[in-house]
Formats: sequence, C-alpha cells, structure tokens
Amino acid sequence: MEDEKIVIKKDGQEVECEVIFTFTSPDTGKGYIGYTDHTIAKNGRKNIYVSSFDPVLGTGKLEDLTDKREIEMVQRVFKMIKGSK
Amino acid sequence: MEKYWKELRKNVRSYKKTLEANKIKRQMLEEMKKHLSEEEYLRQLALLDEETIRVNALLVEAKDLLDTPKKTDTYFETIGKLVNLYNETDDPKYKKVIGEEINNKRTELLNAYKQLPEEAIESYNNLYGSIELVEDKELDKISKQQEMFENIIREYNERKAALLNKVGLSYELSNGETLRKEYNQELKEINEEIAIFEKYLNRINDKYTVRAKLVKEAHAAKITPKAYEAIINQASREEELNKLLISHNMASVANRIKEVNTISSEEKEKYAKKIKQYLRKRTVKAAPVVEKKVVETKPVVEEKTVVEEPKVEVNKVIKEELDEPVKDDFTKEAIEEKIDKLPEVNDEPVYKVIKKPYVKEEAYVEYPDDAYGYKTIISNLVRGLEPKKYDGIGYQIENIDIKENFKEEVKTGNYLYNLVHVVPAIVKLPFVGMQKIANKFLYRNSAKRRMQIIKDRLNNLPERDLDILLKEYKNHVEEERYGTGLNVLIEERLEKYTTEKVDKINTRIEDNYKDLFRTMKKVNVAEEKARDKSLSDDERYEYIQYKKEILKGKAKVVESIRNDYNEAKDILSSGMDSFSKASKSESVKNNYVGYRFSKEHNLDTDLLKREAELERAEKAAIQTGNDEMALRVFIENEKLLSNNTTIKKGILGNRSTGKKYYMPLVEELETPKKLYERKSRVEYGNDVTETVKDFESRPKVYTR
Repeated sequence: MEDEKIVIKKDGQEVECEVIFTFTSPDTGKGYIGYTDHTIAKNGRKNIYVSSFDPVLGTGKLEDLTDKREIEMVQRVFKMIKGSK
Repeated sequence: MEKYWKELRKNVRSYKKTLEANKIKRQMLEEMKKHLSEEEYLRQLALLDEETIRVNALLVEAKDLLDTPKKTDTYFETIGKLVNLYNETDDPKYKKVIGEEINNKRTELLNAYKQLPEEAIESYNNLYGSIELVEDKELDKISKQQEMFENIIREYNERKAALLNKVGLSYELSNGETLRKEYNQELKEINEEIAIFEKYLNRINDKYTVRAKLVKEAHAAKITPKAYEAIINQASREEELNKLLISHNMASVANRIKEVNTISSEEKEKYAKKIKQYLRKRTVKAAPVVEKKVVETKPVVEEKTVVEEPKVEVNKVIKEELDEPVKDDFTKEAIEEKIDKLPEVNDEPVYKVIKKPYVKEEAYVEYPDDAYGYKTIISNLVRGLEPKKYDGIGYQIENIDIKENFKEEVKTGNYLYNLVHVVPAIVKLPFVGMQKIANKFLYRNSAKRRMQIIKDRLNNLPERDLDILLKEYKNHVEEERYGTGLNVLIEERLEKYTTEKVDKINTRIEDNYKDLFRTMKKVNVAEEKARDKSLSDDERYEYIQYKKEILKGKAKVVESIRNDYNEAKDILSSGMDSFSKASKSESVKNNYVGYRFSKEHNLDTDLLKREAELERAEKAAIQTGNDEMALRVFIENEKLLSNNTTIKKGILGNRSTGKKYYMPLVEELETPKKLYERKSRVEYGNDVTETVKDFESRPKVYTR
C-alpha cells in the first residue's frame, strides 16, 4: 500500500490521516478504506475512520457505512487482523 | 400456411353461395316457364344443372382438403406414440411389429399429403418435425459433449465481453493504461482457452457427423448401427492386421489376438494357420521352442538349452501344425473369418483445465419412495458446488490490504479502537490507492452465485423433501462443522413452507368455528320456536327434527378442530421453532422486548377445575358421538377462555394481560422472534335474522 494520505477537516483544521487498510466486497460492489489520524478519543480509544466508495463510477467521493452488515464486515476484518500472524 | 386455409374457406363459402343462388334461379325459371319456350327453358335448366354439378364437385374437394389437417393430426399422433414405444422396447420381435405398423401409417400419411400442395407439406414438417427413429445412445452422448463444450465457450465469451466493457471504462480513468495491461493479459488467457475448447468441439462435431452417417446408412440397410459398425470395423481390422503382418511385427499381431477375449479357440487356430503360412513364405525366424524335459533322480545337472517360455500361446499352435501344406495366396480375400470386437480405444480428449469457469450441473439423483432422508436431500442441494465457510453470512470480503505497522500495533494490544463510520469532511483523497482498489475489484460473485443456486434448488424441492428436512435435520444440525450459511437458507425456506401449511390448517379451523357457531344460533332459534305454546304438535315436531338434522356430525367437527390445532402447533413449536434454535441463526434480545410475554398471574384453581370438567365432557361427547353435547360444551369452553383473556395495546405490540391467552387460530406468536400484532378474533356466525330466514326457507320434508 502506498503512503498516501487523506486530509480531513477536524475542528476547522486540516488533519492528515494515514490509510491503514483497504478491501472490497463483491456483494455490495464497493471498496472500503480505513484511515486514522492517530488521535485518541475521550474514552481512551484510537479513532479509525471507515468509508466506502464506488470503484466503477470512479474516484468520486467517500461515503458513510449505513448497512449493519457493512459494519459487521469491518469488524470481521479486525478479527482477521488480530488472528493473523 | 394460414393463407392457404383462408382461401380454401373463402372458396367454400363462395361455392355455397353460388349453390343457393342457383336454387333461387331455378325457382325463378319455373315461374317464368309460361313466358318461355320449351327449348329455352330446357337450355337454361341444363346450364344451371351443369353449374351446380361443377360447383358441388369443387365444394366436395375443398371440404376434403379442409378435413385433411384433422386426419394428418391423428396420423402424427399415432406415429408419435408408436415411435416412443419403439424407442422404449428392447424386444426385437416387438420392435419389428411396431416398425411395420409405423411404415403402414407413413404410407397412409403420404397418401393424405398427396392431396395437399407443397406449401402445406413444408409447413406441416416445420410444425410437427420429422419422424426419424434415433436409437443410438452414442449419438446422445456425443451431443451432450457438444452441449458441454458449447456452454464452456459461451461462458468464456461472456467473461470476455465483461472484460472488454471494463477496458472501455478504463479510458475514463487517469490510470487506465495499467488497467488495460492487466485486462489484456486476462483476455489472452481466455482466448487461448477458447481456442483449446473450440478444437475439442470441432473434433466432437466430426465425430457426430461420422456417427450420424453411420446411423443413417444402418437404417437404410435395415440393420442396427452396432452391427453396421462391426462390419465396418471388421474391414478396418483386416487392413490393420495385414499391415502388421507385412511389417514382420508378429509379436504385436499375437498380442492383438490375445487381447481379444471373444475370439473362439477355433478361430484362433485358423488365424494361427495364416500366420504360419506367412512365416513359411517370408522365412521369418520363429521363437525357439524347446520341450521341457523331466529330470528323474539324476544328481548331475544335464546340459539344457535355454528354454525361453513362449510368452504367446500362438507359438504352441504353430508348433503343432508345422506339417500342414503352404498356400501361396495370402491376401485379403483369403481371410474369411469374421473377427469379433477388438478392445475400443478411447478417443476422448485429454485437456488441462486451468480454471473452472462453470458450475458442474450434476443431475438430481432421484430415489424410490421411502429410500432417503435429509442427508441425500442436502447432498443434492449442494451438488456441483463447493460452499465455503462464510458463504451466506454477511457480505463477502476480498482483496484485503493491511499496512504492516497497523498489524503490529493491533497485535501488541496496546490500543483499543473506535470505529467511526460517519465520514468527516474530506479535503484530499488518495486517488492512486483508490484506483488500485478499483483495478483489483473483479466482479467475482462466486459465493453469491452459489447461494442463489442453492436457493433456487430449495424452492424447487417437493413437499416430501421439505417434511423430511423439517423433521430430521434439526436434530443433526450440530453435526456439521460447516458454517451456518446453508442453515440460513434452509430455515428461510422452511419458514415459508410451515406458514403455508399452517395457513391451510387455520382456514380449516376458521371454517369449522363458523360452522359450529352458526349451528348453535340455529339450534337456539329452533328451541325458542319449539317452546311456543301456540304451535301444534306437528309444527313442534318439525322444529325438533330440524334441530337434529343441523346437529349431525358436529362432534366430529369439534374433534377435527382440536386435532388441527395441535397439528399446526406441532409444526410451528416443535418443528420450525426448534429448528431455528438448533441452527442458532439469530440472537434474540429478550430484555425489554420480551416483557410482552411475561406472565403475571397466579394459577386460578377454580378456573382450572371448570376447564377440566368441560374437557372431560367434550371428550366423552366425541367418543360417544353425542353431537349436541359436543357442540354445547365446545361453546361453553370458548366463552370461558375468551372471557378470561384481555389484550392491551403497547408500543412494541399487543400484550396479553389476562389469566388466559386465548386465540382460536394457530400463530407463531409465543416465540419472541416474530414481534407483530396478533390477528383479530374470528367472527362467529351470522346474525340471528339470517338464521331465521334460513330456517323458514328450508325444504319441509320432515314427517312424523
């Protein structure tokens, strides 16, 4: 994976985020990107943003995950990461 | 084709009209007879008669032509049935008889055809097809192979078309060149594979044409294709053997003969003679044959020549017949014997399958009645597929790419994470990375397709198989260590099936309920009327008889209601519900949602006593066949239950708050899985006015 960054606006400031993982799903026909700004939230956890995009239409924009099964899919990816050696 | 018949019908109509007109002309002629001379009268009469005769003849012809479709249809039907019989039977005598009948019918058909023009014959052939007999199984095998390869090639072409579409889309992307390189590589591979399969297809097509020619020639010769093939092969084998002989390859000849198990010993001996003759003519050295000598109690080892045991039996035969005279003519014609089949060489192509582009559609294996259970059903559902463990569970994941830093970070366990799936305001996107994902994104819906195939197969299962799954599979679900994707699909199908079954039973229960409540009302009306003192004895007797007539068979109706209810409940509660629990498809959160089903009352023993009394009375009435008693007790019971049920509306649905929860129809509502509103109560019977009308309009047949 190349060291490409995503720049987001947070509290009025531009913050660079590192792309952590990517994957696709043939059921939804979408690609998914996980990225983080390495900040830690009030609950002491690191924020990881996950967004989807449509590869056929092109590099248009990133979209929210609205389907529960999409979110379950991301959780499974985390489990895979934990379980891998 | 239709024009021909339309014109014919028009002609028929016109002929009929002319005949009617001629009749009228005749009448007019007779009226005008006084004013005409005899000659003129007779001349005009003769003209009229000629015309009627001519038109009648035309009419008859046209009618016959119009009737020929019906005759030919019957011929085609009978011939079709005979052909099917011919193909199904194996008895040769019976086949002969059927073949003769088919030929007779064909000649009759042709005679009927001769009356029709060529256009009509062509159209008939297009509609009904030819009547040729195909009794060759090898042709069927070859045609199946053809279909298989055609399907493979078609699927490859579809993939090709999809790739070409992607190539077209890639021109819109900035990094389309790299995309196109990958696609072109794939296209190359696909083209290579298509070329391979097309070669095999051409070979099979050639095979088919050869075989079809053979079958036709066999039919023309009135011989079975097998016999015809044997004759052809005989000639080819003779050529082959001759070549072998000429090439001094005796060992191969002998081996060839040895391979043929069906050759008799006499034929072998005859063939051996020919070989011997050839040997003498060509002075070929035969293998040295030495007899074995039995050594008897001699310690000294005698000098023996090296005895090579002959590997072939033919040499022994040659040795025995060395003294026979030699014939000079050793030609093809001299070889007279018929040789039986030699072992066939398989000409099937051996090819390397790089990828599996198609799903093997293995045939559904049918078993006779009472010979299979849930395992055969599930193996049939999954035939030709290779389901993976996460098929059918959630969305599939592909092309995962994770940064190593992140992997190591997760494994350390130093951090916990918040997954944020709401996108913040983005300023800059990783275009290159996203295009790479798009490159890798191939529409391989393999898992989805597998699940869809299984779904279609489940929808086509017969009722018998669904019953077996419902009864047996739930007890063996845990045996499988395969993921629960298959169970999800089976559960969906079985839910539909059980609801259909339960709906049927519920309609039956509903109808019976209505029947009972209506009869109760009618009985009450009849009793009221009978109590009227102003009535005569006969009238009173009529009312009593009417009451008896209405009550006939109601005990059985009550019994059927109870049995149907239990049957439907068994289907839901022990069948479907336990299945879903066994398969553990969904987790049910029963905290505040399950509050609806909580039970708040103590047991009311007086109510229970009364219920027990009614139950005993009902069962006794059913056993003895006392219809009136059964009906009255049934209705008492219903009243008791309904008076003790109360249902309140809630946010999450209706809620039962009374001592009893009573609902005549069976519904799967006791399980917290389905949280929906219960049906309203059954409407019991009609109004009293309608029952009186029914009573008064009845036929008065009752007599003392």
